[in-house]
Amino acid sequence: MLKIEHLTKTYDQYKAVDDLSLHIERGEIYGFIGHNGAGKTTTLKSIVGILPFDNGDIIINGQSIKTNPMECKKNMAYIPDNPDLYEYLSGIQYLNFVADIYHVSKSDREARIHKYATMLELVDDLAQPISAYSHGMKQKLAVIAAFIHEPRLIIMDEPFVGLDPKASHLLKQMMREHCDQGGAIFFSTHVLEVAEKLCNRIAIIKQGKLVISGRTQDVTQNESLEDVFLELENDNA
Amino acid sequence: MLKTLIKLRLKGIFLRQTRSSKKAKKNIGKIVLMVVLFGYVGIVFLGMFGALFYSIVDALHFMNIDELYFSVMSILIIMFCFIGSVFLTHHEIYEAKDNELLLSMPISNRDILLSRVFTILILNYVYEFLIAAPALFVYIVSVGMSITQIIIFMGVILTLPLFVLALSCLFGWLLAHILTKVRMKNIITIILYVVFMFAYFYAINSIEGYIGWLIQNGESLMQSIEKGAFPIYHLSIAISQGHILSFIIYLVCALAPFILVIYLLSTNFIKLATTKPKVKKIVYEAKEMKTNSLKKALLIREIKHFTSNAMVMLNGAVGILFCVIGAIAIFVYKEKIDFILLQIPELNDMIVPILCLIGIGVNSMNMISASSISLEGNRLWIIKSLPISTKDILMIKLGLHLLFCIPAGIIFSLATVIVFEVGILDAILIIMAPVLFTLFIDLLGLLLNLWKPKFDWVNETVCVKQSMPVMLTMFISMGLAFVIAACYIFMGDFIPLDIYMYLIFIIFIVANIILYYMLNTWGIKRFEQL
Repeated sequence: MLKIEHLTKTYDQYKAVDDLSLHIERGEIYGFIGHNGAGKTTTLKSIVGILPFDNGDIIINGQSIKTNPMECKKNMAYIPDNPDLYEYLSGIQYLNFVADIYHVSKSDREARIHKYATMLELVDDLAQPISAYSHGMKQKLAVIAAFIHEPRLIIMDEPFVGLDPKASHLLKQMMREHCDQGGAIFFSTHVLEVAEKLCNRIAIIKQGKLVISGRTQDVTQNESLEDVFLELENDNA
Repeated sequence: MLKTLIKLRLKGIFLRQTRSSKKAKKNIGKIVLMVVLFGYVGIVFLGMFGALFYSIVDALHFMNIDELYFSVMSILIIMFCFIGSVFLTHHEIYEAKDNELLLSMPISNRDILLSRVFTILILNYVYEFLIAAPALFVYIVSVGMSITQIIIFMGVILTLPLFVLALSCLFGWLLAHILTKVRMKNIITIILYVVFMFAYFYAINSIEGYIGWLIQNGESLMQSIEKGAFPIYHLSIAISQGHILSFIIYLVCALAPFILVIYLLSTNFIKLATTKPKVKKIVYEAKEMKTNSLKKALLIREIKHFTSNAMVMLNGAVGILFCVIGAIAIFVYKEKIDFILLQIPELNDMIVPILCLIGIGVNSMNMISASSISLEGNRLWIIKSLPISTKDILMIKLGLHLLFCIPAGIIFSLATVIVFEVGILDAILIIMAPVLFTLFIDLLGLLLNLWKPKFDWVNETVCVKQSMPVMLTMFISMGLAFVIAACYIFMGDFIPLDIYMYLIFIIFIVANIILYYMLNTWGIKRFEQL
């Protein structure tokens, strides 16, 4: 589903991501962990075509984001770490805009908006301007927008930040369902307990380099993910 | 603490003007450009006010009413500073984004308020300098001043903006109060802005007419000022006669409102800064949804964005207003125009190029595309992560400018075509000139914005008022109208007017083709790098 091959991205002289390679298969929830400034967001933004990169390639469903970004983006959705949305639109206008871009039919968008907005308890607020939304409401709207065209791959950057416990629980459920239906999710998080419970696979990145990756139980072995992460941080310090 | 806050605000203003969005280093090119642009504007205003004071100083001195000279100066300073800073006052004091952050820190309300007031004061001193400097220079050269008079003059210059600030704080408070209560905020802001703008232009354009009236009615006018504008009377007497008591009376009149306003604002600052307007909740009712094509969805998004902010509309497309008002004015003043043409028959031979140039001049005030990339701000990720081709994004941005500006431009051109009863070929030229020019400015603005985008703004107004692409587009577009006219003055002896006009048309067509090609090559690559 997603192949990251020797990805390298530099900002001026600073290497934000250094020769990173990862493979994410269908049905997998892949957690991406690292300290602040480790290169997680740069990697995620490169995958979704927001940031150009220097070396390597990113293949989504057999298509390269470098040479065929449009095809890649049609199969993908992105939820950023900070949901800066169009404050001049209402929630429903924003969802309709995203649905129009992905050519989602009238009946499909009506059904999906109803389903996800009801689930996340946002229905009543859909007519409100986004400028009146709280951080959590914006995050919920970004989640609905990401699911509206039923993408095969969803890229999420700290998706649980700002969500209340109920919404967090529902999002985890949505993520699991999505992957059970053959989709894949690659997401970054600092909440190690969530990553440990939710992810099939985990990758840890430090100063732009991949430190460890693999099946969650193989990475943690008999320890907690928190202990493993802290050990790796100290080992390479 | 106050010193630190003031330092921080000044640093913010300076960095906003001299650093580009992503680079931490100072941008020397940008600093030079800003100095040139502000220098140009400064020289224009200094020259304009210098000429005004020069035209009245001798007559008023001869009539022994020098105090009227300083009354005129102070009234102009009050007007200029008030109009120039009232919207900034509203923004800095009542809508500042960091109010809550600062209020949570151990900083007194008075210090927060004074640091904001200081920023506005600096702007007021700049405005004041443009009037006071030529007034002082002209008076010293023509009449002369004693040391006492100069000291009092400096005292007035230092304190007059405090009085203006009290006025603009009061007006800003009224504005904030009105805007929290009305639903159509944008319309109210546009109306207020237009009223202020036309009042300003009317005052500037009527100055010539007022000078004669001022000199003729000097003495009675001074008596009116004494009765109606008591502080201005004492200010004028203090400077012109070196009268210490009048200076003290003026100081009390100028400082008392300032101290009172600062006291009232600091005691109510928390309430003012944290009260949010009550928004009536609209409950969503599911309706049948409409689908749009990708391009239509993008265009709707651009229109909604552009029309969501009155300041963005006014700064980006004030030419549209001028086009519509100009079209109406041409019909209203038809008889006067006919009379002028009768008096100066030579104008009839030049009417088509003149109308083309006027059309270009009016449309040069539209710069929608020059801020359209920057306005994406931290939401750029949305269109970059969605499956939309860069070409579609750029073409829709280009289209928005044309969609708003071309119809208004054509309305203005059609009005001139009807009133001046020109032939069909000439009518086509008059209509085509602003269309070609609008396309040129549209392409130029978009390319400049792609070259130097500004994404780190906290308020969209900063983006449309202070970003380099907007300023460059404004100066190039307005400058072009003058360059076209000036070139003809130099080349008129060698090239017939109609040939010169066709040449300009060809230059614009070629320039548009080149810019369009650049947008489709360099522009697309540049957007993908952002």
